[in-house]
Formats: sequence, structure tokens, C-alpha cells
Amino acid sequence: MNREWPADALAFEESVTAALRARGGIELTRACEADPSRRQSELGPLVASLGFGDFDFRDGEVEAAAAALGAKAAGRVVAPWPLVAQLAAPGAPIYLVAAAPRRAPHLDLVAGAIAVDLVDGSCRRLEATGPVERMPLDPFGVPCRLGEEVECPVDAVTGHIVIEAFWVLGAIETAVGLASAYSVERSQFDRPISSFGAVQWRLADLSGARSSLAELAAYTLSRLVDGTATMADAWALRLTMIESAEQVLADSHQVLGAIGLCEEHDVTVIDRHLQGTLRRPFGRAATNAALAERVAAEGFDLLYPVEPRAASAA
Amino acid sequence: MTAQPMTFDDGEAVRDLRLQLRRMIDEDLPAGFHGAFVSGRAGQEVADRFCRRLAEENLLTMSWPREFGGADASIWEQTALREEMWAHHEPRGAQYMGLNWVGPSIMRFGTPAQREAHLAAIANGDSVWCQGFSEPEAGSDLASLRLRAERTGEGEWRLSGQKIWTSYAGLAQWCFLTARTDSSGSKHHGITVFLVPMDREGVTVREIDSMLGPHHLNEVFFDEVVATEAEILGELDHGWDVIRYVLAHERIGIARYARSERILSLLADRLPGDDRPEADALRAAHARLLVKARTARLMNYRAIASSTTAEIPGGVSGARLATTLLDQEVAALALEVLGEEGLYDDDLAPLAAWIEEAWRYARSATIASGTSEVQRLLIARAMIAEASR
Repeated sequence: MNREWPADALAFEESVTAALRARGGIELTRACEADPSRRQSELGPLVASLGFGDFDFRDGEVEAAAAALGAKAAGRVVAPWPLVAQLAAPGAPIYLVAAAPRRAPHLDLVAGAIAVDLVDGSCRRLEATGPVERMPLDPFGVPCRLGEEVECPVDAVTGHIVIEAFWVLGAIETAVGLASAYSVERSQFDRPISSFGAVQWRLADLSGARSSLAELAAYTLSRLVDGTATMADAWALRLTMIESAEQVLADSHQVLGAIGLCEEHDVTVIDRHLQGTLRRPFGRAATNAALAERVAAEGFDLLYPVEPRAASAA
Repeated sequence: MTAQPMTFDDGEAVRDLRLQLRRMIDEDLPAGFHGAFVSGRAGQEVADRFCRRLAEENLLTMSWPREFGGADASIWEQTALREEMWAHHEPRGAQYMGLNWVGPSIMRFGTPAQREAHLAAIANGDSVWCQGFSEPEAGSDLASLRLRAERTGEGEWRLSGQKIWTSYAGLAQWCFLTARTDSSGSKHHGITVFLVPMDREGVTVREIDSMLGPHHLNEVFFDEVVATEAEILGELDHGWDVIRYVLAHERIGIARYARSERILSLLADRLPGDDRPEADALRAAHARLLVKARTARLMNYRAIASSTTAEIPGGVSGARLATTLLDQEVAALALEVLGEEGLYDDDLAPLAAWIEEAWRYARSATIASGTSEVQRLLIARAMIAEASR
């Protein structure tokens, strides 16, 4: 068992983090929300210069790790770019959908996008029908329609779900860091709020949610790389991603109090910008149902594996 | 980019070990064996036989260093052993404590005479130990212990006080006992560990009836019990160092998640297959817990790996918290799936009446060996320390 990340992938994560920080970090995200054209003028060239387009996660473990950690670094500042869609299927960005979507984030930035329908398994062109329409919980949504049917890209669905989990992991790591830092800085009743048991309880739960997602994301990525990842594994990760993010966002707000609700605070930006990711193609209940269905069909690998339902009944 | 693989595969040696252990369990454990606790002295006899079999196969002390008769097993072999044992009702019975932390503590802090007196006996499965830590007024706050040890002469001490919640006390030959030898300084100073035989005059064990079953919980009274200088483990007044070492081993030493995984696997065949809303809800709840079980195991693996590389703040406590909460959720779901039949402990009960015992025992998961509140405090303190740097 080797749980260490490849050095090259860690170096890539660092370079992405440093580059985004140099452009303002979450401040750049705010600026892009106010003026969506700054995605093309500032983020586009940056993403290209970092070399995100130079590797394919299907080309081996180091490339897969670099894609995952690069997405995590971008997620730390909820970078407004369709990075997950591009990394999951280089050359033909993919969007996971459950029916014909009304809007798709950043669709105006990519050419040749494909919508993968997780209900019927079909793949169709996804075409923008207008510019970005800013909404609080969907800041970069673009009106869209489905086009002609096309061939589905290989491994793209599991790849998308895994890479997206790393993007969300980056975002919630930022939120956890902000909440724990604030807990030692903020005094109430003449002492830091971190000295109150109720606050410590929330800090512990923040840590647990972050660790759960970090561990499961790394494990699922390794299964993706060695070719053993199933859709049950992917839905398992997505369910953990949603549950961890919901817990971290709620607990971070609670630790931060009213200041955390202000637009000037980074947690608010992270919270609003994550909501679309947590609900597309569907949210917690439907993800759980999809997981249960795939466990029945494929089984689930544990120390004592769960066999596919048909096989165990036979 | 150069290849440097991350892998969660624990390797061929570990896979072979699991198969060997499962074969031995199939061959040697009687049907319906639910552990030494549940089956009382009869269960302990099964455990004694199983320990001898493990010793014959050089597996009983595989985690120990070769110089003390062990096999220098890798941390992942040790992990596999703990998982297989815990998933099958810990068939080593009370021996697991001796193997997991009493022996290693004696190796780390013991004198040559103590090592000679105790290690071989533990390795052969000949001695059962109990842990004399908790007291009526000092539960989670171990350092507040009051059991007194007073020096009465050259090389001699008298122990007076009470321990409580002491598992296996009625079966044990030895007690790993913490006592207060100095009250003048901070509460972490002045604690000393004694290795005391349970048949010494003045030691009385009283079983506490509980929902957990026999032998789980006991009170142990020490009435002017004589102990010698030679029975002190580690340095006088510096027993807190020993306790911290023990707790680190104990918290990570129990692979509760493996038991949860096995129950979930067995439950899969008993889930309803129809399309009633409640059937959908049970299948969804089961699937969700499969994920939580996998995640809890991975968090434990992270904590185990970090003990050999860089430490992660609150890592052991985080893993333990996830594991113990899982234990309770799995037990609750199991009763939900089995319904009324899950309440019974007779021959007709499903899954050999395991579930009613698992549910009762799960009540203690977030209490024993450090409550979930204490685990959360430890995690938060690590985060606060990191944020304060």
C-alpha cells in the first residue's frame, strides 16, 4: 500500500495554487462573476499556460493524479472555468445531465460540448443558446439545448465524477481553513470562540467531513487508474462529496456567524458557487438511489464484498 | 511525468494471510460463537484454543519484534489480523489486550525481569490481562484517578481504591493498574503503573450487570493490596507516559469497521427486493452505510500509515470517531432490516442471533476507550493548534 501522491502531481498542484493566488484567488472569482468576460481574458490564458490540456487522466496514474490535484487547486478558489468538464474528456468537454438541462455552467467557454444523459445513457451535443445569465446560486449558467446524438467518450462519466470530487474537496478545504482560523481569531465573552465546546464540536465535524472526502476521493481515483472503478464506486464518491460539502458549508457558516454570510467573505462565495455542482445532474437523494441501484447490479467491494443482487439470489 | 504509483492494494502477503485466517476461523470456531464476552467462560475456552492454534501458526504475536518472539509483521499484516479477528467476534478473547498493548508496553517500558516474567506468557496465550484505568470519579478524565499507592517500606507499596468498567476482570490473572503515587504536583504527574496479579490478597472483583452481557463491565476493589517496587512499569510518578502510549495503541487497535463491513455484507441478502417506498428506503440506507464503512476503513488506514510517516492532526481520533458512529448506524440499520426477528437471541433468530448482540454492544461504541466527545475535543484541539501557528 502506498498512499503518497506522485511528486510530479504534487508539483503541478502547487503551481496551479500559486498561479491562481497570484491572480487574486477568490477575488478573481468575484471579479469574473461581476464581469463574465474576464473568464476568457484572464482565466482562459492561465488555464492554457498551466498545461491542463497537456495530459489525459486515462494515460496513467501520474496524469490522473495531476488532473485530480490540479482540479483540487482550482477548486480551492472555486475558479470559474469548466475545468472538470474538460479534464474528464479532453477534446470534447462533457456535462452530466439527467434530462434536457435548461442551463449549463460556462457552456459559452467551450466548443463541442457533449451532454451525457445518466438516465438513458445517450450522448448528445450540448449547445449554448445565449450568454451567461447570472443568478446567485448559478452564477455562470448558460441557456442551452440538446443537439444531435454522438458517440459517448470512454470512461468520461466516472472520470468526471472523480475529478469533480477533487474540485469540491479543494473548495471545502478552503472553507474548513477559514472556519478554524476564524475560531481562534474571534473573541466572544472575553475568550476565543474556539474555547467553547459547541464550537469545537463543529470544528471536529468539519475535519471529519473533509477527511472522509479526501480519503474516498484518493481511493476511487486509484480504482479508476487500475481499471476497477465501477459506477457504484463513482456514486459512492459523489454521495460522500455532497454530504461532506453540505456539512462543511453549514458548519463553516455557523462558526463564522453573520460575517460568513457577507458577500465580502470567501465562504459565501464558495457556498453559492458549489450549489450547482452539488445538484447537477442530481442531488443527494437521487445520488443515493443511483448508488443503491448500482450496488444491486454490480455489488460493492469491501473486506466482505456485497455481491450483485442477481448473483447472490441465484 | 515519472511513475510513482499510489496504490491501496495491501499486497499478496496480506491477501494470503486473510485467506489463512478465514480458513482457521471456519475450521476452529463453533457455529454461533459470539466472542468470549457473550459466551462467558465457555467462550474464553474457545478463545484459549484458538490462541494456541494461532501460536502454532506463528500468528499470535506476529506484530511483535523478533527479539521478543514475534514475526516483525508489517503494519498491513497486523491490520489484516485485527480486521479478521474483530469481524469474527475477536476469537482471541481477552488475549487481544495482552497482544495489542500490554505486551508492547512491557517491551517499551519494562525491566528485563518484567519482560521475562510476562512476555512469554502473553505470547503463549497463558495469561489474561485487564486494564485498571477507569475509576468512579475519573472516567474520560483518566488523570484524575485516585486509587492510592503508599510506600510502606523499602520496596513495598500498599494499593487502596477502586477501579470500574474493567473488562475481563473476572477472567484476568493480571491487572495493568494505574495508581496515584504523588498528589503534590499537576494531575498528570504522580501517576504510576503497577503490574498486579489479580489473585493477590485484597483484590475483589464484582461483576456489573449491563446490557452488554457478562464479563464486559466489572468493579475491582483494592483493599491495602501489597505491591512491590519490581511491579512498577516505567518510572515512578511518570505513568502518564505509559498511559499515552497505551491509549494510542488501544484507540487504533480495534478494527470495529471490519465488523460493520461484515454485518453489512450479510444484511445485503436480507434487504427487501420489492418496490415499496420503505424497501427503497432500506436499500438506500444500506448503500449509504456501505460507503461510510469503506470511508471509515480508509480513515483508519490513513491513521495507521501516518504513524509510520508524517503525523496528521487528530488523525487517530477522526478515524475512531467515524468508526464508532458507523458501528451504531450499522447496528440500528440491521435491526431495522430484520425487524422483530432481530430482537431475538434464540436458535431461530436470523444471522445466528448476532444482530441483537451487535446492537447492544454498539451502544458502548461511542463511550468505551475514549468517548466520542473526547475524540471530538482532541480533533478540535489539533485544528486549533494548527490554526494558531
